[in-house]
Amino acid sequence: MDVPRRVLILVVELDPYIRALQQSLLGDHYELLFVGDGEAALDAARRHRPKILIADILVPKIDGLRVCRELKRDPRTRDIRILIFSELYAELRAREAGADAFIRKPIEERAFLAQVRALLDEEASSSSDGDTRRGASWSE
Amino acid sequence: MERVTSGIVPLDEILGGGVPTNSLVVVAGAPGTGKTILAQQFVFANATPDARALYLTTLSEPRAKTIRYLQQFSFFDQDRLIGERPAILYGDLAEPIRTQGFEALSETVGALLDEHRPRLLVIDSFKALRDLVPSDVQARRVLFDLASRLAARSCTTLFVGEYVRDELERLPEFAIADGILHLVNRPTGTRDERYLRVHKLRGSGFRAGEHAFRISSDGLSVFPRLVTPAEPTAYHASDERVGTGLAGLDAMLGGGLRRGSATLVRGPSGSGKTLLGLHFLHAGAVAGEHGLLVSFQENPSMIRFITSAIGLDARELDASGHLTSLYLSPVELNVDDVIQRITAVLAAKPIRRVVVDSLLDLEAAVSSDPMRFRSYFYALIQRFAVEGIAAMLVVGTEIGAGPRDLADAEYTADTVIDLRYAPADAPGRESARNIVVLKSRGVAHATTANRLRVGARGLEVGGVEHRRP
Repeated sequence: MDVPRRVLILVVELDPYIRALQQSLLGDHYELLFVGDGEAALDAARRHRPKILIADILVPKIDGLRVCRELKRDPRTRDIRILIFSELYAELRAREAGADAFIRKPIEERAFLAQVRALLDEEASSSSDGDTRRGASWSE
Repeated sequence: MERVTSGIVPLDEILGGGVPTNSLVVVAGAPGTGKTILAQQFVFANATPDARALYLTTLSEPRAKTIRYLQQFSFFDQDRLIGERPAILYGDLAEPIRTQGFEALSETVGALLDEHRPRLLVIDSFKALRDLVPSDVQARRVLFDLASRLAARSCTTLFVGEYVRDELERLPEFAIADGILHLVNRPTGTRDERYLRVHKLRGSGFRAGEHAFRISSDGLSVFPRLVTPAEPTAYHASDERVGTGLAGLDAMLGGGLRRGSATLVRGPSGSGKTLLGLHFLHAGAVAGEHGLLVSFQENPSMIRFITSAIGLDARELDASGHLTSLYLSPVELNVDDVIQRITAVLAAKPIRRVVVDSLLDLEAAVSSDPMRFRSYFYALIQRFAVEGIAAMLVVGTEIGAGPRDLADAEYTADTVIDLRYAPADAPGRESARNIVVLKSRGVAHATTANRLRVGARGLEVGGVEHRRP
């Protein structure tokens, strides 16, 4: 799948090792912007309008689920696809918060990449047919 | 003094109510001893949105891993970690310390305290951080600074670390600590025994010695060491007699066992020890007395079978609610666990008779420490005496051999009954059993042996049929 390099993915993640892994997995194909807390995530999401937000839940200031809720509530940001990526068994909470997908840490590389691609595909097709939410994929 | 609960009631009892509020406590122990679980129990028992807990992982286990494994415990509650006002915050000191060094510890933690204002702080592992500094002098300086910073705040702190025994006396963190909890995992035969010891608790009394604990999905279950009173507790020694259920034996004892006394019943396998215990409990139940059977030998089904086989009414015994059975497998026996369970039954029911079958199983569970068995035995006997409980303690001896050396137990017991077994020595001849009262304190008892027979209705002594209800 050819994805233009300009596609922006916002990542809210504290763990430097997970950041490095995400960079190595996604960095060749996408533009990654890392932030370290929920407030910065909301701010960056509103400012840069990424295609995807990959959010850990346990981040400072505002947790990842609240970030998700805020963005999905706001008409300007609700189209951002949100992948909750956490060590917590929080699939249901993520779904309730309006997330498009959930993956549990640690990173299973193939599943993680496939999930990001699926979210981008959804985003592309929903942009063309006006559908804002299609069937997302969920995995624990 | 205000206390911070550990979240584990028996541990709080050991600590005199919990660790003192605003104290600095080191939780020490080798890897795998349960330190992190204990620290997490402190956190989940105390943290609220208004009194938050800050849990800082370091260079030992990444935060993600800590949380991943933590979720398997029943005390874990995801709600406490998220939302607008989370009660528990998890952070990671690894990155700042890795980049700025151990010298930055105090300032880094200080900044986090300023930001989150926690009432409970855990640094796990603190040992991993202090191992970064080559000299104790350097460590002491940083530690003193951090301890002073913490002392200025209303914040209770736990330093968790993989310290070994000799470090507890040597390293500066133990000098500045207000409390030290040491967790030990001691391999014993094919199993491991876990112990917890309080080494220090400034400004507070605590229960000294080793306290056993177990780790399950509920976290740590702690069994406080049974404390033997330095002076025997004062109590009224009763003259009241308690029937054994065997009229012949009661006659040998001049009317039965004394209320509140402890009787050791010893004999080889098959000599009738368990049966004697069952007669004793049955006689009590029939008289409306509550009894407790602590058995490591026979499971409840087997007990019911034996009871019925000797003509005692097992259903009647069950239905009366007068018999409580504690069956504990001798394979994974933990003596502190046993004591706690016995104590719990004594607290819940008006138990008047107890049978422990057998004492050797209890002794084997503390075989590594004979002194411990003696103190447990003595403390149990004291407890029974104070509460007016007549206790029968069964001890097995090997066929043909002399009784196993339980001299202390025999000395402590008020009454010792010896069952002897002579196997049939020729075809067609019967095996013979004898019963003799070796001692019975304050009782004019028979000194001669009597025949003991096992009939369709249980035991009979000296040709006298046992008493039927």
